[in-house]
Amino acid sequence: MATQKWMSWLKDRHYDKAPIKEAIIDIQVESPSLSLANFEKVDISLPKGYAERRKVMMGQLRGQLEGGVLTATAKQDDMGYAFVGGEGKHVVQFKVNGFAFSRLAPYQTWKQLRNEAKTLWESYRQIVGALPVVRIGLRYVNQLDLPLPIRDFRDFIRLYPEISSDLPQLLAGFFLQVQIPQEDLGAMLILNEAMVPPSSPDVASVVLDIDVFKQGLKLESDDEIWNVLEALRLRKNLIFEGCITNNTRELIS
Amino acid sequence: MPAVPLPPFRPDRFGPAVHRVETPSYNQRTSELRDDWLRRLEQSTFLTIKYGLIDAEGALDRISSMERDWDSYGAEPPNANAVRASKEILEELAGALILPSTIVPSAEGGISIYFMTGHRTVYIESYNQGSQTLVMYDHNGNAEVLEIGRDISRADVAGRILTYLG
Repeated sequence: MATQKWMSWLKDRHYDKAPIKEAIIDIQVESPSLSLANFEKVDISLPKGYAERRKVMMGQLRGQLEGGVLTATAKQDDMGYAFVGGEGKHVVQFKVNGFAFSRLAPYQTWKQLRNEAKTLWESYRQIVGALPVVRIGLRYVNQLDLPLPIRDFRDFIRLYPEISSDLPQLLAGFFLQVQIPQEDLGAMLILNEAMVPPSSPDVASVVLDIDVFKQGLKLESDDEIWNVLEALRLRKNLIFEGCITNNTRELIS
Repeated sequence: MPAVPLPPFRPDRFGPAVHRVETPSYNQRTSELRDDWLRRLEQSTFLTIKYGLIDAEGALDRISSMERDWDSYGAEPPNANAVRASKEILEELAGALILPSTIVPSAEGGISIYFMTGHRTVYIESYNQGSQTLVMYDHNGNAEVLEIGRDISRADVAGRILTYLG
């Protein structure tokens, strides 16, 4: 009974000051025959409010990556196009190997995210046809702004690098990745956690990037996709709650 | 010097059970992690913009420490005015999901921030004396120069760049 209550709370829980900077629904298809040509007239199928002009900006974003330290994406330029809508808060990527929909801050609700993604997915389906879905992912990039001074990270987060007591207890930064199989779901969690430049001088900012996904699928029905996403969403909530403390809950409530 | 006694090894402290090791080699794992991180970065608009802005500000910092005559033709280095104005415009454009292609010092004394596509280029030049211009040109030699604040408001710059490059 207690478990049921907990699961129900997880399903419905909402934080007024949710630290979600971006929520991403990623659906990949088996696409041996798709090419960029399939997407050249993609604006025809896009819902109202999504601008084709951001095809260019997709190139800009990649240009930055190429020009910076992270240069290995150079060959991915022909993967597809990105379009921006929702007053600059929605980004949809139509790629030869799949579809990704992002909602940027401020995050609204799961229902809105899912419904918008569903509409866009239908547009993608019109272009690529009935290709089987091979991977489904749900990713939430959170940024926790923790008030300084912090006595101990453990006061706010429950997943952190433990510094040996034989070492100086000063931490200028960290980047942590854990990969945790979610065996009951047949899914995988990849969780990246990193200190990032703070959003203001009186906080320390930590990115908590939760990516839960199922791969090796061969789903033909769209209903199955959304059922999988519902399960991943519940798991994502469980993982987020597992990473924070009551102090953090107070901060974001 | 007396030897420091090491604490006893405590295998029970390693909570998560390791059932199998899937890491064939350190090099391969490093490469996989890098590729994975790049994919994740590219998938996330928030992280792309955030880290893109960090890179851009790093470029500004490097440029701001240049010395006089950096181009051997007597050019002034960018001063604090130009750096501040460049930083402000970069932040504003990042809000519109626009990142620069490259940032370079200007021989006129200031900083130029470039945005490029296949056939068209836009740059914003922030001069040491405080003014800013928006310059747009294509490969056919068509060019337009607007002074920000006089010919175009700062708030309209992002939209203008998108329209021109799009």
